[in-house]
Amino acid sequence: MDKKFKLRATALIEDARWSQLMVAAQSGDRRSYGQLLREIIPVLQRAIRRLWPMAQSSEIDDVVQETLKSLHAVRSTYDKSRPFLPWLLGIARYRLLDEQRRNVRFSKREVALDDRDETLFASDTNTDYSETDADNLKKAISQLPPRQRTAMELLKLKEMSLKEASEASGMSVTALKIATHRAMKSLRIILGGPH
Amino acid sequence: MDTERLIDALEADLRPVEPLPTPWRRLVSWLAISLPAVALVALAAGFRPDLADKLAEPSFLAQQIAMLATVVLAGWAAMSAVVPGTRKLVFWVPAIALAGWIATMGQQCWQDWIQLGVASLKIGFDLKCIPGIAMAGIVPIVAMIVMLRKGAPYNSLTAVWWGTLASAALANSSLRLFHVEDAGMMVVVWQFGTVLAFSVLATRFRERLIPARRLIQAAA
Repeated sequence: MDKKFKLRATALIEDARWSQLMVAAQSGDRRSYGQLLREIIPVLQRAIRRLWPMAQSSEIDDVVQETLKSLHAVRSTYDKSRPFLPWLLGIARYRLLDEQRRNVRFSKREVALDDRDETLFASDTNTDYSETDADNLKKAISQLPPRQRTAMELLKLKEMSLKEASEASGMSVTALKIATHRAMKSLRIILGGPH
Repeated sequence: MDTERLIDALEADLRPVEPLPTPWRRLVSWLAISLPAVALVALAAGFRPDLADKLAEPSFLAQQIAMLATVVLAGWAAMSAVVPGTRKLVFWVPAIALAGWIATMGQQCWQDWIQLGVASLKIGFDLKCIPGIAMAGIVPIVAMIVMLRKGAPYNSLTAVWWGTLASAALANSSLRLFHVEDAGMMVVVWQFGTVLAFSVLATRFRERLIPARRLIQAAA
């Protein structure tokens, strides 16, 4: 009981300190802000791990980074009269849901391969393996104009939704659609397919 | 990107911000803009001639009070929905007022049924309700969306749903002051139906009304 009480008291003290740092950050104090962001990383990692036990470390890091970006963007919504941690975890929960949605979308497009050798011993059968279609495609994408390249990388390689790609690139959904359409046409020409 | 580098970038990008006022304070500001606007529409349209008698009727008064309670609680829930970490219970509170409003309409339908029987179920056309609510609701809805956009856009479904419902309900309460239509079923179909239709439509386009891009760009 005593231990629980101490833990609770420590959490309250920490929360009050973070709240002060956040208020200072709202008024533009960079030092307090940096200190706050560094201190909350382990808290976020633990919370996200608890909510998403199956996640890999890289996925947890992604959610932590997205949470920090969102915290930065919505820092004006913090109310100093309320505790800091529920506000922070509220942001983390939304970012976690986004990451999980992206994960589900990505896993739906994955195909499980049989555990078999894909190449043969005879060297002349493996001549094309040094340069795969994926390599060719990546090279072709790198030759595209910047906007078309961005659209292809975000939508096709990173498999983002139009909305996410729009958020990441600052391009509108319509502009992304047009850029993708033009990129596909350009790629057909570069790769020598039917026009 | 490395987390440490991200923190450095965010730190470098830090600018002072004005903290968002509490949901109640924002609600008061919204009402301060919206109430005069809907009152003006009612004045311009001309109050119904039997308004004094109507205000003395308990069922009419109960309906107006339930509607205004929905306005206040739905407005508060909408303002709270753009603050991360708000308890989910808050988003259910307006449902109580909404249920009360529906109950008062149900009671009116029941009274009509007792007095008129099957004739009370007859639903005619009353298309004036739609432009009436749209006209009275335009300022509250625009003001609400502008205010919601200042918050965090992570719970836009709840924010836009309750925000639009509050605005449309306020417009409907004003409509009842100048539009002579009290038959229970007509009120349910044309007035409550319009309020719901506006709310559903706005919620459908919630991502355009409260876009996330603006905030992400700010952090990029």
